[in-house]
Amino acid sequence: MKVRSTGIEFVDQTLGTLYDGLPMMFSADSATTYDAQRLGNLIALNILERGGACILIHENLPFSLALEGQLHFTTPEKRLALQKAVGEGRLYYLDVVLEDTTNKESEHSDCVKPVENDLNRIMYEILNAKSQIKKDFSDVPVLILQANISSLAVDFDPGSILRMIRKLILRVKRSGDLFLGILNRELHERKVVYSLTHLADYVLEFGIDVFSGKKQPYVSVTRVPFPNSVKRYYGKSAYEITGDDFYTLPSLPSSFEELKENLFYIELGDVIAYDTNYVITGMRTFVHLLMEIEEKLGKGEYTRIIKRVGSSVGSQIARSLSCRFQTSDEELFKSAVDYLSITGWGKFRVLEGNIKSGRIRVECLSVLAANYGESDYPVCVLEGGILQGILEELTSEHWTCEETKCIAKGDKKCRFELKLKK
Amino acid sequence: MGKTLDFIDEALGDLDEGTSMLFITDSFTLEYTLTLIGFVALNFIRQGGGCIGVFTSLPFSLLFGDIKNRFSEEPLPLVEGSLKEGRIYYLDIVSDVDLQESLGGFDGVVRVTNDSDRILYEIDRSRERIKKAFPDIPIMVLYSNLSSSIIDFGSATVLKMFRRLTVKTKQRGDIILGLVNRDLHDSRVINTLIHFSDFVLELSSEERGGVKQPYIQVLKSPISEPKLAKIQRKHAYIITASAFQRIPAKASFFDKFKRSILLLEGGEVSVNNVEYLITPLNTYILLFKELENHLGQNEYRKLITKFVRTVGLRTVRFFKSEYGLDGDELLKEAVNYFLIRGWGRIIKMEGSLNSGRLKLYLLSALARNYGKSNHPVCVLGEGLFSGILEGVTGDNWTCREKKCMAMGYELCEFEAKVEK
Repeated sequence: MKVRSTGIEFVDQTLGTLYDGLPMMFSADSATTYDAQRLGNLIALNILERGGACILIHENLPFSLALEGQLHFTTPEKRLALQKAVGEGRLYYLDVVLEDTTNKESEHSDCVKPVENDLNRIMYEILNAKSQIKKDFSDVPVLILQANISSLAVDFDPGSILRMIRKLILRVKRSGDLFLGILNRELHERKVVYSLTHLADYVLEFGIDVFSGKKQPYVSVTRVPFPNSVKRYYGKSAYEITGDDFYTLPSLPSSFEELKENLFYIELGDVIAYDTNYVITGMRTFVHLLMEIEEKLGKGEYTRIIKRVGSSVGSQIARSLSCRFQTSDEELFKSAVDYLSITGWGKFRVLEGNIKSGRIRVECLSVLAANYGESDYPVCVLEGGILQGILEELTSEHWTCEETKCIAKGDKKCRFELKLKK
Repeated sequence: MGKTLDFIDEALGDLDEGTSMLFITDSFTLEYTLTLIGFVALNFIRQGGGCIGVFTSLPFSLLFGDIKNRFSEEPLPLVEGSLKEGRIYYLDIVSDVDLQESLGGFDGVVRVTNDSDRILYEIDRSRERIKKAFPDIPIMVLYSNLSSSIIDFGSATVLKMFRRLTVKTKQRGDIILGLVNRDLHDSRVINTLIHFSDFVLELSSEERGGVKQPYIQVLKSPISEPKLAKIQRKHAYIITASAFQRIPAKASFFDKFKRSILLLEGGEVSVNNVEYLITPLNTYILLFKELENHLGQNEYRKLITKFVRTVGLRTVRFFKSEYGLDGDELLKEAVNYFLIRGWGRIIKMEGSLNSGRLKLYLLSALARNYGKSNHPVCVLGEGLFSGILEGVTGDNWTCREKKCMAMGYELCEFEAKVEK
């Protein structure tokens, strides 16, 4: 039996196949170690749910506390899967304790073992647990999850830890199993961290960035096993962890200076900022493209289609912002409008109203309208769609958007009336 | 003696007997470097050379899967055949006495206990065996990787080992290629390894704003000045299943463009008085998908190619009148003008303007982000290239995308020809 995916979309996309003999490492800082462990636990649980087996080595978490929810599985399904796997003998939990375990029995089952804090002992118990699993489940892959390598650093010298992990990984490769280690890089010298990650084929880095005084956790893929077979990410992504999933969302810059500073050319031909691909197009060219499309489709169809595109774009903007900034919908709407103002659409501002009242008036100096030429009807269909999409994503309700004034019609500014659809 | 890869041959000259090569990587580019040494070794074996591979982290049981994932199935018969005939030896380092697995009838696979003296002994023994069966062929010793051995034995032991290997290599007229991850070691260790080597290639990454860029650079070469100065430039590269290709680094051109981007009072984003829109690529993808759904593939293609063709033509006219360019240079500048703004990059062109036939290979950002498709999606490229070619030559060109990354190909391939 083969388990070929982790069930976490981001990991599967950047890793490719979960192949036999794969060693993985998550390197986190002190603030994100829990997040890295939560992702590791989720992967372990997903593998167990798919019929795989797992040996969990926890240096700081007795099994009784793990079952109480400290493994961070908030959904009943995940807890049930954990208990089922223990019951079937597919999960071994090695509870590393500081005292002598010679006469110590587990309070839970044979699969939950107190293990003395000794590298040789831990290694022995891992191999023992694996052979027990293989007795009953000879063809299932076994994930060895070392949830906190860094705790060992307090008790043992780095050389011994490195040699143990290297030995373990070589064994995993030879037997076609899986290894996942999680380390807090702030506890080790740089050389030790690089040596540990050097041993793995797939490496994720967790950390914290600070934007405008707000802390933002990020994940970044620093090694993939076969670079030409997966989408390579070069930058950092914001992420969210729920009880049963982990996902990333692209971040958006909040000022023009931030956008400019973080806009990079990747030698593969991408222009990216925060892992989002951007293109820089002449506004006049873009307007001509829209005019060609309008001429081809006719005004009615053009409005319908472009509004729908705008709405999707707006919805993505709102999702990205709400991932980055945990703040009120009113604030998020304002941030989204500001985002339009820094990317070349023109100068937008919320003139009056708010989400709560269901009526908002937005005014703008639309660069698109200014480049459009004279028109007897409003032309900022795309921007209107974007504003509508932002509001619909934030409120999960339908809104309408009407452009009541437009520079292309001779008005001084464009004006959008946004109303909650009753 | 033999060829390795075009750009290495250019920087190294002939792969002389007794050459010691070192590839230095960092943690981010380790997997690229492993692929690169794979290309070098496979090319050497293809040309009839013998090879002894010391693999510190890849058990033999994973070798064929690794080759398949890294390259394709194409090299597998070559490797299998060479292992069976004893032209290549695979020294499979094991951590302990776990030796009971089957070797699958491959005479060239040797299990070696992880001990520095034992490894050196097995390299010598494998060499003798190859020379006995194939007395006249050159032999390459591939050590991948020295860093894992330093974790196992310490740097002093591995430095002595590498020195012995390079000295023996020179005495015997073999070739040695070692790989080391510089992030793990003191600069003294890396410099000592460089000191022992004749040819040193560095694969490293540069990080700016959290974004890592891989580059390749020749650090040491037997070639003397002034040619050396030219080849020691930093280059970008791409890896596909069939090629490791060096490409000129262009980030600095974009940085120059970026520095001139301004946000004006009225909300215009402007560069040299031209207004620009900086929008996620996905905006275009959503737009193109909607249009294709609504109009059907043919009408959609007609609409977009017609429009972009005129854009291409206009651009060429601008470059002609403003900078007085023509011919190949005009073509190159006009194409780059668009692509450097996030649409992708041309990897190579085959054919010529004069012959009326061109093949363009594009790493298309649009295709890579489009999602899977059963037909080519770079309609924009078709229109743009035909417009630019028309502007450059004065002839009518048609351009069709024959292969597309959205369909699963490594690169997008465009065929352009003059309309009769």
